[in-house]
Amino acid sequence: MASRAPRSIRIAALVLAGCGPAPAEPCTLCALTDANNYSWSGALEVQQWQLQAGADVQLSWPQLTHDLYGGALDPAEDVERVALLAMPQLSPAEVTEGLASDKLLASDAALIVFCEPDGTRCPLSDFELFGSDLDVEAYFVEDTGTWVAALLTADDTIASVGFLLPEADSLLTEVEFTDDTSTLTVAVDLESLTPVLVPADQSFVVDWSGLTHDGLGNDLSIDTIDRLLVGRLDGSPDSLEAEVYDLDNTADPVWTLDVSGSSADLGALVGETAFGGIDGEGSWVLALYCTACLNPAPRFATLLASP
Amino acid sequence: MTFTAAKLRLPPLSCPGTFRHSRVPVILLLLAGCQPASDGPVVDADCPVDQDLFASLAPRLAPVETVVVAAWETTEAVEARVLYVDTNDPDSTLSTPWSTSGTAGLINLLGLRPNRTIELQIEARGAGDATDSERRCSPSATLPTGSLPSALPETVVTTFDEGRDVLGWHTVAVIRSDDSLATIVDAEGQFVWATEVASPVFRATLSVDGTAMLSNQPADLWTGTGTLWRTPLGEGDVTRIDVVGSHTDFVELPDGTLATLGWTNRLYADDTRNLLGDTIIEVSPDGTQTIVWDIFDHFVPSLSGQYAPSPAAVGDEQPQLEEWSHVNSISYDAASDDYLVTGSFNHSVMRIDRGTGDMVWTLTDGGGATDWQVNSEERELELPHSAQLIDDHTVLAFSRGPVGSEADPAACAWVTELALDDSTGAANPLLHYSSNDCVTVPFLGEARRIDGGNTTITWSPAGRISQIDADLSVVFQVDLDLGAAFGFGEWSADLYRSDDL
Repeated sequence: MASRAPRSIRIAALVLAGCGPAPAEPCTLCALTDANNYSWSGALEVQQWQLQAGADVQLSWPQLTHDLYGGALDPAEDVERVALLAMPQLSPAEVTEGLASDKLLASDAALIVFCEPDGTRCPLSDFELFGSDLDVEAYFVEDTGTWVAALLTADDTIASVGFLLPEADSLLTEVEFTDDTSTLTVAVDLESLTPVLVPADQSFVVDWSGLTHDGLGNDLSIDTIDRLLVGRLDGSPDSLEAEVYDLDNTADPVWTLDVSGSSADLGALVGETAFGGIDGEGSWVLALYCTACLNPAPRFATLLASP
Repeated sequence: MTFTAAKLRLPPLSCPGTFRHSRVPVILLLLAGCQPASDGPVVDADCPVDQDLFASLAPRLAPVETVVVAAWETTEAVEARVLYVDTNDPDSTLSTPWSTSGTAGLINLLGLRPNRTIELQIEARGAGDATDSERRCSPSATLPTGSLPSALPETVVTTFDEGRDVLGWHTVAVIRSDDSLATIVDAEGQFVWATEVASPVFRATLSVDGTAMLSNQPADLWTGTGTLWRTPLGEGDVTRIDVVGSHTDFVELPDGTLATLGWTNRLYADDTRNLLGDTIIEVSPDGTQTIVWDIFDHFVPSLSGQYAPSPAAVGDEQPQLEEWSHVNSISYDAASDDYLVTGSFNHSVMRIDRGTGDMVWTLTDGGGATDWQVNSEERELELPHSAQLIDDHTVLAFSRGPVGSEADPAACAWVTELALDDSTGAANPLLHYSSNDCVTVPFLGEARRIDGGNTTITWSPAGRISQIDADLSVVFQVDLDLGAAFGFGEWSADLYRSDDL
């Protein structure tokens, strides 16, 4: 455990060194602010295919083994739906940017249809909307913008995403999604945030009503926050960059809580044990999630430090 | 004037009881949105507090936690209303309509934002005291509103032309891939009421009596059961009415009768052709269900070609069920007691006499048997999906356009207003509007004329509601995040119906 001590010291040092206006006293009623929040940025790369316009294009993914955020998946079991969206006003680059930053609106899509896969494949002709067959192939013609096919898991996490471009001259009618079809490179900044100073070995209350922006840089609607996580990471805070999408599994111990409103008593956290506050081991993180949002990255994540 | 809560028999703290007698620090109470009872009336400082009149005042949250249920008792019969204010906006005191005279009352405070602190008072006056000359008020009480379902998508107001928009409320269905919600959106594009109902629901609308949200879950098979849901805005039980074949749309009549589109079929060509058609089914307040209109009684299908297989078919139904009339919206005109429905089979608006079930007229834009023929160089009615009778000779309609056809696979949807000219039999366009960014609407879609002359447009699958003025300028627009859609809805100037309090 000797290796962990310097990390705690480092967090404290960040506070003492003046990385943001650190509170002098630990809080038991902790008002979270934008200064406490991490920042997230992502670079998304998406493969695109020129496909025969009007064709009953076959989508398949038998070799897909990881989702967009690095989680392992079974291609036959874990891809529960495929969403197909036509975005007539947006280029592939604009869709990529919108997906990464979570800024796409429903009105950006002229058409959204869904397919429940037969194994690991969905032809365009199987896509429908609430039981209505919309003859998707008839829509899939040139000059209808960027078509986005998103493979979704049970909780609507994007397993993979690809761009389909209808071209009259193309003869291609099949595409196969692999782990290389879409890649997301994430950069997380935890060094610029002001850690939240809390007492050791004691639960506390957090209030996030004062947050105005999420870690992605977007305006934050408080009402979308519906899950809270507190956990300890063995690695340094830097390791959160790799683990930001998987804190449930990488933090140990970890506690979670379904939340509504804008505050929560962490005494209500659910984990293998009751939450009794943080200790001096490892790096402690508190994250707030919007589970209905497209990007599953925490809307808020901060480090907890004790004196 | 000073008073104590005990003397008034009011709770010392108008917050959930877990805090009431605990030693929770005041700052925690404030964080939770709770405040001790005030030392004086702060909602309306000019209204004299009568501590002897109000025997009790116990505000509480309804199941939808943005609704504050204000219930009170008085020591004498009075008319009363609730004065209330969101403490985030302390300069905007609101009031409910007056209640009828009595010694007890209950009013649901509607239109409140989630997670806000609401301060309220009951204002009383003698029966018939229209001048409010002897008004008296209760002490103030405070209550935090709760949260709305986390399944709600975020809204983004993309246009807000203050002064040109007509302020009001949209009750509207929100449809996601796995769940649906009946919601109310305020004039600033924020959700103020929402509840998850069965999925999908296509229309959400306030009940005529103003006490409930009505919504519909369509049948997925033509012999299946659709459901009309009634969810109290405040407290009470959710009720349901199952209607075989109920699909797509419904409307409530002033007497509480519900009229829903229904499905029926008819066999043709020596029983080798099986065509799906539509009905109107009325559900009276006592639950009686009556088919008041059957399209097969008024139109003879052309059998020259095959219609598309219907997704509402039951299994491998033989002969194959063909999607023929595809009636997809219904509205009601109280002045004439007529229904308006839209049909895809002839790109028409059909006006139906409710009392007899007879056709009053048919308006089409494509030739064929019709009473009114559109007179325009532009296409004005194509796959219409809503129609509203503005007056006896003016129709507002929403058209999805030729979506999905090879001719125009990404057609913009549009709204058209047509004036019916008795002398020529022509329907002349008064208005034709499509969005500058060409919104495609392959599913639902609706336009409604609202108070003040503006028009609201619900571009359903695009997750957008627009309000345009007479100059066709967008004066208000709200968009949903990607992944959610609007269904059908309704615009209301006021959430309160004064005659039901």
